[in-house]
Amino acid sequence: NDGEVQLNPKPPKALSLPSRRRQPTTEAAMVSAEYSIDLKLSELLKQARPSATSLRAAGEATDAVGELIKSVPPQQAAAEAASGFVRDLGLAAEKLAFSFRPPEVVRLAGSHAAGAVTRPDVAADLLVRLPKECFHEKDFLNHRYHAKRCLYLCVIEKSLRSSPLIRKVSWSTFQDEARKPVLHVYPATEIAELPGFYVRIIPTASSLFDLSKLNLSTRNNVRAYTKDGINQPTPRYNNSILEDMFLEENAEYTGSTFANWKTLQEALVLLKVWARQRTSIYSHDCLNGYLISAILVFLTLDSGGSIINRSMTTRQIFRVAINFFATSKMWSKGLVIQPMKKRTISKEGIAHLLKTFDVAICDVSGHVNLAFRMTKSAFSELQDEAACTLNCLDKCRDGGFEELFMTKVDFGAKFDSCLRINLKGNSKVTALSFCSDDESWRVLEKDVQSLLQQGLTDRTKMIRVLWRSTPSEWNIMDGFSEFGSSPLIVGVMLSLLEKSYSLVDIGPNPENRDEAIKFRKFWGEKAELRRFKDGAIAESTVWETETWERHTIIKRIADYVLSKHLLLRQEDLTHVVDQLDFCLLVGGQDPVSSSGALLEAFDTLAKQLRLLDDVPLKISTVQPLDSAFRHTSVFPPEPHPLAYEKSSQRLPNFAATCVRSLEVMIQLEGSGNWPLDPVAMEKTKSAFLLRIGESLEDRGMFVTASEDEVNVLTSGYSFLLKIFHERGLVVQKQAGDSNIQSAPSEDKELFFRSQHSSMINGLHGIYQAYGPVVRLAKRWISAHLFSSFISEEAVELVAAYLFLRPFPFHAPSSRVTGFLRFLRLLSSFDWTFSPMIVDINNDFNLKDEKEINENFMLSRRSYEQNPHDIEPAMFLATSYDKSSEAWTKQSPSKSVLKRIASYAKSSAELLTNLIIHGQSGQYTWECLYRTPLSNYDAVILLHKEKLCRPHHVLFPAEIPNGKLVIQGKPSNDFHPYMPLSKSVVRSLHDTRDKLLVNFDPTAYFLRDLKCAFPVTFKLWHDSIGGDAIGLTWESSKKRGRDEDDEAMLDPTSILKEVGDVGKGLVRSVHLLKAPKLE
Amino acid sequence: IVDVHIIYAADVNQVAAESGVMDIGEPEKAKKRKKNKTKKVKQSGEVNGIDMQVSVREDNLEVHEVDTANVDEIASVDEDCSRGMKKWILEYRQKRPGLKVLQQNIDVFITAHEEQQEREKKEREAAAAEDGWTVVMHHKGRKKTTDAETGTAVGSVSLAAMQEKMAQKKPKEVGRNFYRHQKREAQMSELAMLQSKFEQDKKRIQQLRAQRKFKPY
Repeated sequence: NDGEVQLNPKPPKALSLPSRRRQPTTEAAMVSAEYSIDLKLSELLKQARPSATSLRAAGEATDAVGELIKSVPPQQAAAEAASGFVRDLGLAAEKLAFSFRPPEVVRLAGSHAAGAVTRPDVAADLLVRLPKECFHEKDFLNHRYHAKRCLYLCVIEKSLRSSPLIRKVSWSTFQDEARKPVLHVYPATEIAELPGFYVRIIPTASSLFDLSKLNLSTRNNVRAYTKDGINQPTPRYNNSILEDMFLEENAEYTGSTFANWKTLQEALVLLKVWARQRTSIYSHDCLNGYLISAILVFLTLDSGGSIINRSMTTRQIFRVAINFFATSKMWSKGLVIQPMKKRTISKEGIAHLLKTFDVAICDVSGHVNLAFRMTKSAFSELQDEAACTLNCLDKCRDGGFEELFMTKVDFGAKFDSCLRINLKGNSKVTALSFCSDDESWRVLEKDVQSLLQQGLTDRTKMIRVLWRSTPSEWNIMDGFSEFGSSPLIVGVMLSLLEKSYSLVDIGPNPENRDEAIKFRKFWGEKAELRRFKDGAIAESTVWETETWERHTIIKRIADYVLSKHLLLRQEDLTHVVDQLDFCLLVGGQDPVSSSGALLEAFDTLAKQLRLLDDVPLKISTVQPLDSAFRHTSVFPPEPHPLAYEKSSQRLPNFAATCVRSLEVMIQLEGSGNWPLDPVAMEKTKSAFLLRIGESLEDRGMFVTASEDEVNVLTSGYSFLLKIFHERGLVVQKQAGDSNIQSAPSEDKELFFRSQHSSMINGLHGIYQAYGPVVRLAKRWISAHLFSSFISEEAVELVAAYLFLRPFPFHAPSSRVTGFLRFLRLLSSFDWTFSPMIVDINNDFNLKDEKEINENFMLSRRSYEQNPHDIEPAMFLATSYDKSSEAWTKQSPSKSVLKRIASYAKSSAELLTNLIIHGQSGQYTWECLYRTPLSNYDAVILLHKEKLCRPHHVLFPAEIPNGKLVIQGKPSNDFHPYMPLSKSVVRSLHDTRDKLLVNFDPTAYFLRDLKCAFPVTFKLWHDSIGGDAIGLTWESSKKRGRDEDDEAMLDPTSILKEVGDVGKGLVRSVHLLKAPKLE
Repeated sequence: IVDVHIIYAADVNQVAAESGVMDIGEPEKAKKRKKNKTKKVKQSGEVNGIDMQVSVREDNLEVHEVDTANVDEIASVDEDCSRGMKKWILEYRQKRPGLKVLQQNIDVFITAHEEQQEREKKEREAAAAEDGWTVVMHHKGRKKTTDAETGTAVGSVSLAAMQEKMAQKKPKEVGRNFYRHQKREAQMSELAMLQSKFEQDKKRIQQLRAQRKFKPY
């Protein structure tokens, strides 16, 4: 019955045409949307659940294993079988020997019994009841139960190993609890649909011990667990045994609830998929499949308010459960999985549970806290995730299907920064005994958590510490020596960046002696006494940093605190914060640090422009257009020594020859005298600009102009002036639709750019991480030679989407996380079927969205005919551009977008790996920005020292494989740097004349190449700083008949010609693959 | 492995030599950083990347070495003004003759352009007159503030203000749901669209299924 799903089996009637009179369309729309969600969910369930036949096969295999276990002959069990384990529990071997009896009861439990098996965890749980005769009455003391439980499993293991029906037996743990091993038994016959299927053997201890001896809140059963010589209660230890004692009862109760309740089973599968996608909540200290099923059972009971009942659909149950996680007040009162009438646990009992544990879920028996492993931080993370999910359910397309079930919310993407601590062999760990009331790994988790909490105070919103301590291969003879070998992972979520990046932590006043001593003890030499502006004196810590390095403060604090208190070596601690900064630095500094000077220069210029009185029309507004003004330029230009009015400052020995000019848009006051003819209008603009240039020159600025651009050098920067004339928009509209559509007018473009610029600027004000994320993204785009295919603005909008629609995450507060999500978004966004709606100021209402969707549908109409060619491939809608005309109309094409997506996917995988596992071998952080040249048909290498900004080149290109076709010498006419001698000061004007404003040899080269070979090949280049250009042949079909002459040439001669076009710049041209002949 | 390093070093020297100064002006620290970076690259050598992350392969260099001997050179790099760097710099200079000259060019162009337009206008009027029509024109009086073609005000009225005005006017038209048949048609077309969206959704799901897009992990 795996195919049918209890969702919405038939297409809704509301959609059948002609419409029935009374059917309002909105309802039809809703029905249609619901249907689409149900379709997807049922597909998902089909993928996630194994088929009925394979489950039957699994059931048979499990039964067979059960029979084998039941027939293990009685024998003597001795401690030698698990000597390491026994030793590490701190036990002597003598008292542990017992005579083994086969179990009388073996039963299937877990997901297979509940009918909620969810890939990829398809293992079957087999409960094996430990016979009472094998244990002494007092074995619950001092881990003796745990040791004998393990020895019992050893006997079974030995016996199963010798069976021909069993392929493999391996050891693992129950919920990462080292003292509770389980066996993984792999049957010899594989089930085709369930590769890697195994049976998990879980011992149970039904009625083995006297319950009163295991009272959770009062009894001490580990004698070594003392404080000041007095035995302390051991709630976790007790609960660990109690859990085994009632496993069967709980399993039976859960199983009976799930039996014959299809929607509940489906909801459980959905919840498991949901939780598993969120790696940090599907862990030993938070949720697991068993706990979710228990909570669902609770919600069906009257004590849980009976909020789940049989009349509900799968989706309703899912929503109710998520809502319960997120908002229920019951958590603070403790959940009790007993019907009201049969309740055995007293109010005091629950109160004790709540006092002892962070979260209380009392089981069917009333004796066990099922959630005894759950920690407070894990639970609050769970609540946060659930709240976010509720949000997605309401706000996202298709009920948040993608966000809820298909998007991985792993450590790297979820948290703002990740910390990896290697604690193997750390003295703090070795000083603890492995198992006491709690286990040492769990104790360390808590220690790290509280240290970081104390050190980072309100800089963080959430700190999550997780140490998956069970080794993947465990030899029981080794005991716990391999446990905790993999590093402990910490995820940190930042609070408001003003808080997170603050330079000072203010502690207590020294007069408050106790507090002050505590503070000093915690911070050690970092603590200092300071007087603040308001006169207050306080203990404090100061983290002085350059402005552009403020994102590293968190790292510095965490590293300091952890190394001080955990005695860590530097190499044991990896904190992912600034590992990608290398690609944004120039000379070891982030050029963003001079942004202040740039904005000041702009303001000065704007003021002067508005005050100009010798221009026929007054300048009414001045607006910045360049990305440097909105903090999203990879390399905002730094002040140029020759771009000041007077050279009062000391000149360096040399300066860059090329100056990047920043576009600035101006608007003139209204006038009726403008020509209406578009050509004349542009010329009039130029005339105005030249006039403005002249009068600025009179005021001491250096102006250099061509007919197309007027550049003004002032206060260290060069500005390129443009005039926006509103009538230009109207004129274009009148001039006919057909041919104009392809090339937007100058004014239209200016309009888009100015709107975009101010919108993005606003966004930068809200999200401080936005700027760095965009810069990393742009650098990545260009490093992989996509510069000519995707515009800067498009990248900015895609990155903006991450912040505005962060679901299922919160908006990123760090550059690395933001960048990772950018890569994932780029690789996974369903561009063919979805518009990306970037709503920066929450401008859109339903009508706007409808309009956008209609525009989108219109653009996808051609999809029916030709799925490979849709325009625009990337549909980016903004409030100033609802039909995606501004940035992606021409490019990228669908095929280029596909290429970008696959690069993004590969980079995202590498980055995820780097965050979680660190650098390994050749896979370093640099690799993210290193592009393989072997992916092109030919490669043109340029002389790096002839680029306009050689210092922006990240990695000099390596010489590609393939045939070297031609090589060339560097030109003598161009040098990117020019020496500045003392005489410069005197002849400033002459020296300035040597400057090349907005001159970029690579751009000229590409232009000439496109002119010479308009259809022969595609060119891939890096506009920021790359000395390689990739070239791929266009298929000859595309070229058409007229170009036959060109196509006749063999690739070598074409490439020789290519080299010739770029003489003086081209170092060599390499042929990797010849074009395919048709 | 060493080759990579040498090439890099050579590169730096070349830049320095070309620019006629010894130091590019990077602080000492930065240089060290860069060197470290190359070292890391060296470690990352060996592998010709699985997927797309690729590093240096040493044998490439040798291949290159062998090839260089009999490979063509791009001719007359520093003499040819018709292509390449020399051309670009010339072009750059030529396009910047100074503000005065540019201004003159534009003035000349605009005068010519206006004359031509005037001429065309006359011709049009003449043609119209030939057809037996007399063109009546009002030339005197105050400056035009209305567009000759559309009759809308130009100049001091901003586009935004105009659009706003227009937007306010709109509701005066007969409401789209005024007549019953309008309502019905609107509803029908919306339903048609919904249905097409629905069909599209179905197709998409089929396609996603084909791509195994429903496999959560």
